[in-house]
Amino acid sequence: MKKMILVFILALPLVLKAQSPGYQGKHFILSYSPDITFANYLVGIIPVIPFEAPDGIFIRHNIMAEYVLSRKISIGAEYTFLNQNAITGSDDQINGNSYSLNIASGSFALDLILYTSDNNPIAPVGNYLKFKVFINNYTAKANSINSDSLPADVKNPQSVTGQTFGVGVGFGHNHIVAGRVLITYGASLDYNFNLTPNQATLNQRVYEHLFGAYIFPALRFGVGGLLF
Amino acid sequence: MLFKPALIKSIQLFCLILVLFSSDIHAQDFDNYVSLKSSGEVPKKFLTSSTEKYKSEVDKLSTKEKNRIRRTKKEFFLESNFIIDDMLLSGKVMFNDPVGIYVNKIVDELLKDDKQLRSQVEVYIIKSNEVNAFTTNNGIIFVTLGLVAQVENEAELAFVLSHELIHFINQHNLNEYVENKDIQSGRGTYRGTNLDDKLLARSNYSKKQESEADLLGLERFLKSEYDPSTLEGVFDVMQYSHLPFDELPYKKSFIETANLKFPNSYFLKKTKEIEAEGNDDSLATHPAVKLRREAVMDKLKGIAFKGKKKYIVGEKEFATAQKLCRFEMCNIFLHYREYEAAYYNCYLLMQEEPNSLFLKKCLGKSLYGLSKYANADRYDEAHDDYADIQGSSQQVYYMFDKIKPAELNALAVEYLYTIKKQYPEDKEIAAITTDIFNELPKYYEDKSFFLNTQRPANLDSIMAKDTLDNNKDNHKPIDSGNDEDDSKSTKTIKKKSKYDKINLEVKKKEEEKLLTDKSYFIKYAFVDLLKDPAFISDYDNAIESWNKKKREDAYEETKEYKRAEAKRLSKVKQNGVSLGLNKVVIVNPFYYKVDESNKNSPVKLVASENAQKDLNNRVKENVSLAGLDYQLIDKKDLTANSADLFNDLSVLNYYVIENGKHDNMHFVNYMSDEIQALPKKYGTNYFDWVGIVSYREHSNGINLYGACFTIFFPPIFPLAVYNALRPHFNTYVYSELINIKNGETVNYYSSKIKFKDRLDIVNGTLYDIYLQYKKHKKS
Repeated sequence: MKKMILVFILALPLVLKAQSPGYQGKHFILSYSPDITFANYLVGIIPVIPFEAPDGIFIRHNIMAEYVLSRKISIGAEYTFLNQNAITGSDDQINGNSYSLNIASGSFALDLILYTSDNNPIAPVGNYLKFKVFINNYTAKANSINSDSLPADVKNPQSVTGQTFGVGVGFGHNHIVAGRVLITYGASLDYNFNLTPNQATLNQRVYEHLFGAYIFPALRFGVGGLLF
Repeated sequence: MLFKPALIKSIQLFCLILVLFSSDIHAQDFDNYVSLKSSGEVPKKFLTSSTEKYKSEVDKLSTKEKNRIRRTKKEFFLESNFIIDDMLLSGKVMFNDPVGIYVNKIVDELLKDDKQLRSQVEVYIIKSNEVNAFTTNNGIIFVTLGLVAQVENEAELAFVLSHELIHFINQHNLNEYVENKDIQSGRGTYRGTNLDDKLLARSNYSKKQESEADLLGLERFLKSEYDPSTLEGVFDVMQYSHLPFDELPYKKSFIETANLKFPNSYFLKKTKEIEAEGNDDSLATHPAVKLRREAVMDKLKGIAFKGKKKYIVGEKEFATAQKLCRFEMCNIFLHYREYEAAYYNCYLLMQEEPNSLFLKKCLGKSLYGLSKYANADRYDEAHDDYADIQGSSQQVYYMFDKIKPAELNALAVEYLYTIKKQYPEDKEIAAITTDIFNELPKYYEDKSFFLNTQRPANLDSIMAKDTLDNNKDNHKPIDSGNDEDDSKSTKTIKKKSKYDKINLEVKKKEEEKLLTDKSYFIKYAFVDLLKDPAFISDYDNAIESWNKKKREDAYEETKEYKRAEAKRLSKVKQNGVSLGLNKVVIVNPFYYKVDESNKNSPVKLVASENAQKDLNNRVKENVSLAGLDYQLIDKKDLTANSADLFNDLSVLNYYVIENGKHDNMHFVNYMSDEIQALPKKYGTNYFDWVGIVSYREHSNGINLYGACFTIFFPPIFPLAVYNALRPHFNTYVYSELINIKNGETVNYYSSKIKFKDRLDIVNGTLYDIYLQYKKHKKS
């Protein structure tokens, strides 16, 4: 399925050889953005496990391909990758336990990007509004040491994989310099639908709080190129 | 400035020229008069950028002057150079034209002993009917066509030029600007003055300069060989500058034919008396003409005029130059929709040149213009109130005040169709005639309304009785001169038999009925034309065209049409217009950078000029990328050899301004001959006017959206603060694409983009515009 979507995306420019405007005739954009997601949603985990959020933010690496379809509309596909020790810490004050939780996820999304404001020039310049649907594969691995006081499912290192899907909405601004370089910035909100994980353990709870039914706000500041 | 100088402000449009070639005024064929044009080498003043001129003048400023004075002078140089260049390149100023060449010869004569000064002065003719002349600080003297058209001889013109030379020599403009700044800010002797005193001070200073120019100009004039005995005439010209160039009673027979005769009630018995300009100059910039006249005449006392000449360059040259100006005035009146003035101007000129095709066309165009506006219920825009008009020309204004739109339309058709028959090859006449003919069925859908029998002989006496609503006017209509006839006829009736009397009564009733039909006289408009099968066929075509238009108008009111139109507009908004063009001509791209924070001078002139140059490159780049063939013609790209281009730009400038005035009304432009030549020359019918205005506004403070968003998403607080404090920019992009072959605006693009005029914004928008022009509609 994914391969089919990928093929479709890559073939799109050829299929749509139409006279779509783009920026000076360039329709295809590839960009990278280290999205910053805020970890405040981890607060939800803390009552369950006395973990601390490390820095309060995650960095998600986002690679996006965008194709301008018409004067005001473009479509895109993006892959977002996250691999981070989401939670590390200890509860020395209680039992001298230490623990960590590593999260890795990769999500693939299809985007519809609108540049439809009357106060806007044409796609892909200026303000945009983005809607997306995505599939998210994740792996969460918990490690703990001296974890006697921890719940049974935390005592032993475990990992769990799962898949969610969701929708997102974003807005931002594109700025093109030197004719080919894209500077983009904006914000987005992703919403994960709650799917049943394949293991109902610690990861269930981790899942619930990290990927289940939560809104993920993110700030985006990226750079890219207009390829053709 | 010699005359009313309200101009300097309102004039964004004039200029000057240095005549590089001296040659005799070439002979004009006034039967086939061709509008005045520039020729030869383009003068340097037209080619140098305003910024360069400004910097050059600033460099010459003395460092010994006070900083405040230097600053004020810099401001003056900046503003004046840009305003003057706008005038020079507006198309309203000509160089190396026959009139300009002639006037420069007068300056040669005045300055024949002062070569250095002569090298600094350039005279250019402005296409304006105002009676005026004015001078810039850098030696340009602008003379209007209206002035040359009104002066009586060359010596009068020489005095005006002497006056203007003093303005230049003594740098009156610059000094007045500096003085006015002091007055405005209440410095020095103006400290503590109120607004009234300031206005008075400005007026006095200006009047002082004018008096100085008069008297010093007179001294210079007296050194020449020109005859000062004529100078009183200059002041007459000034006093009566609001009148046409001649005062000739208007005869209604001028436009009448054997069958089409107008009721007397359409004409005044007596026209308004001519009044000279008033003597109250308390707040004026110029002294009252009476005072100026007295001062000059006083100086002339005791001076011998023997051996002095009215003409030095030549009487014939003067007459030709003046005639050219008077002919050219017709065009200018038409351009400014002063159709009655154009009509009277033609009337005056046709006394001498009755066979001039140019004049016949101008007359036809004035009837066409008035009729088009009357038909569109916009008559007030084209018709001036006769009550404000003095002298014989008031008759014309009155006639067009009384005539009904239907009659006007028929009159225009009659006149134009008749000259169309005389000049069947003339495409301009054909276009105008067809256009106005197609509107005639609005009033007369049944052509049988018009009679093809000779106008009855007794119609004159019937018409004489027609007083219409003249009693409401203070002006009495022209006497019929038939009162005596009426009393004789009464006596005759008494002698008639009973049956004759009955028949007479019936006839009288018929006449009365005829009189109640207000258009009775117009029924005979086409008596001769109706004998022509081509006219009848054209009338049928007009009816068909009118009915088609009615059907289309009716269809446009249907829900079906409105739905389809809404759908189409939505599609256009989404996908653009997709015109499928191959080539466009891009005319004079403009760029203005406006900074709201600078209240005194919001337009950043130097930055705008630089941006303008860059815009040309942007346009070229994007139109090429869009795959559209193009030609960019720009006043800023003139070279010494581009007089032709200058003339084309002038025609296009007039064209687009006139089009703007007609505002969506289908109108055959008054310069259609010149305009119609351009598609062939440039290989396309499509001409595009494009421009950008970048506007910097004050900060708007924190807006509601920003505040709400910050509450829900605190990390963006710094961004919200920055956004609240920074100035805001808007970029306005305009493009109007006109098919100049048929006058239709093919596309009007106007966009307000809420960003600074960044390169990607400009490029993106321009590319979008030109791609839409190139792109074909999907089938």
